Amino acid sequence: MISGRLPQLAWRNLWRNPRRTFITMAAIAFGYVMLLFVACLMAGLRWQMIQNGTCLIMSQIQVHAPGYYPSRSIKKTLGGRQGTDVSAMLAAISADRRVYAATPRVYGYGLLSAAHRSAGVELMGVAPDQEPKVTILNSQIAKGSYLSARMPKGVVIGDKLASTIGIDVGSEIVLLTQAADGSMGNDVYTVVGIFHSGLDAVDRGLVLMSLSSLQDLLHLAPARIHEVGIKLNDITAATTVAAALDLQLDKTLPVQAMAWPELAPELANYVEFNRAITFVLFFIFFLLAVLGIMNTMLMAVFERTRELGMLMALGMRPVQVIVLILTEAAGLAVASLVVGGALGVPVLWYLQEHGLDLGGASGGVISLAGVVVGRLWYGRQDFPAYGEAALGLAATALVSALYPAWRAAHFRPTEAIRKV
Amino acid sequence: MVLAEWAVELKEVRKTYRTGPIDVPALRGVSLQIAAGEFAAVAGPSGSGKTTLLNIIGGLDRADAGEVWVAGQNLQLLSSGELAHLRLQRIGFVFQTYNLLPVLSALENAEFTLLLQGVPAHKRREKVEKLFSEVGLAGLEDRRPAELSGGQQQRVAVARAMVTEPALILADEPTANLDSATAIALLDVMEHLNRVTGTTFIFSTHDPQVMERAHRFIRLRDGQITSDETRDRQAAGVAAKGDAV
Repeated sequence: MISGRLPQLAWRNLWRNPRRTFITMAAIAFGYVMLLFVACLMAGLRWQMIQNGTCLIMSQIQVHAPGYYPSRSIKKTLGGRQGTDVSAMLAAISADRRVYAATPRVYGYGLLSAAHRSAGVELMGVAPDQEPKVTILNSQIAKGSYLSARMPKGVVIGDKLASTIGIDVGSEIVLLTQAADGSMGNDVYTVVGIFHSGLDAVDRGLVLMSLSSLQDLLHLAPARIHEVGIKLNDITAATTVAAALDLQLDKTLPVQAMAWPELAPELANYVEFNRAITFVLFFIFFLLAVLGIMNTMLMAVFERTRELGMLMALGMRPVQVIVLILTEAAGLAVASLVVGGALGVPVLWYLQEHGLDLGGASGGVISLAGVVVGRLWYGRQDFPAYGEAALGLAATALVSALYPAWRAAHFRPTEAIRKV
Repeated sequence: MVLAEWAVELKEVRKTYRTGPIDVPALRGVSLQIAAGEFAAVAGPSGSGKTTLLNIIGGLDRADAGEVWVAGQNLQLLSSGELAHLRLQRIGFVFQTYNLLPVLSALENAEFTLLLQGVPAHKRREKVEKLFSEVGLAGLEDRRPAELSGGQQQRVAVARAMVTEPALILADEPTANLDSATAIALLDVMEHLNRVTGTTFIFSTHDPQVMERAHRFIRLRDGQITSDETRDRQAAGVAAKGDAV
């Protein structure tokens, strides 16, 4: 066989017309850089959305009593009316090495009143010392401070709620709610902090308070919580860990452990949509590349008609002619990918380190699918996608060369040799 | 019954080309036997059918009618793949315009058919270098075709045709693009190889000095053989190849 010499011959053939080869290579290499750029930004967007979507309030995994989600009835606490040993449960969850932190939560709905105005709000009771390990609302405080054990009657509210009601840090508010036992719960609290999350629904409707305060307001015993929020060391393991926790915890207590894709299906759908968009962009580029590479290879074949005819006259079989042309296309693709990859490295580094500033375009923070993206759009390295782009381009080059190769293999030597 | 001692035997071979609505007969019932080791020239004016005849003998084209026997095989019965194999293993070609691969060196061009045959690199190099010294190309192995004269390029083409030790070499007007002195030098090389190896040479030409060198001289006109002469020099010049067809 001629396999050993074939790549050498193919490579030399490519450089017969250096300008044409260079232009085609530049186009493919530039296209590859664009694919890397798109893949990196899309992966960054997915990552930012998942991170921001899960770390603001929701957490990556939530453990509830079966049937609590999504109706969120305040009566459906973990362990039922008796509740559960919260510390033991948190310890059991934290025993899993994949778990970074776990925190208990209680939820309720009520009416917030201050002076002359009132608004319906969602009440979220958290452990002030544990919650910041799982979510980041504590870092979004625009004014005042976060919850602390020193001020059990302190609450933190969103900036839009504060301006709607006309209150500020230090203001007293009254929270009125229906307690778990059916009675009315109400109490006076002091606003200790005002946050700005960037999400309108959160900034306008969430009241954060200490776990014990909300349990008191809802007439829930300290052993009764609605949820454990969990953060993992690796978010990509969320579904697996949720399934494992579900099995493990269910041995002692009926629970339902849910990972973020289940808790925020719109976010999960967006992530899938984002992936699909990435591949659509890849596909569009591959189609364009087919035309470019096919044109180059057709030109390369037709201007060598006589020579290919001579090779066939000498005894080169059609399949060897096809392999020769495909090898030339593969050489073109590989060289282009090497150049494109080299050019892409600084681009990818820049996207990851500095990101794209969306401030100018959006006028500030933007949100997608109910999730804050942030002002800076950072890239994230997505090596599988880079590999897929490279393989896709290489496959595109080979597919593009199939027709020229097939044409070349069907030259009739007697006619081809006569071509000038 | 076809006798195997003929390197080439044609029986009533006909070939017609269709150019639009017009049929152009290229060969009209050509019958011919060429013995192993012959150094034969096919001459005739343009359009007489010389190239068609060589193409049909070389399995590059198929006859419309008649029988074509080369290397003991009826080419009419062979598939395209079998014809390609026959060309690679048993037939060497020398073209009027050399047809060397411009991206390969002289040595790489000459060894290309060996490459197609799957001969290992060291054997290829050994064979080509030996042949290059016989045809006067020693020292030019690494030059690209563009760096060689026309005569040198045609010698590379002859070496490429000879290197596989074929039973038959077909040369279509091999001296047409060469000046007289270079053409004579090339004929010397071809005749030397014919004498030393016993390889059968058939070449087309309309160059009188080439015709004179042929040991057998076949004249074609309008697709028919009008004369077929064997000259005295054949007896002295041709050594039949032992394993020739």
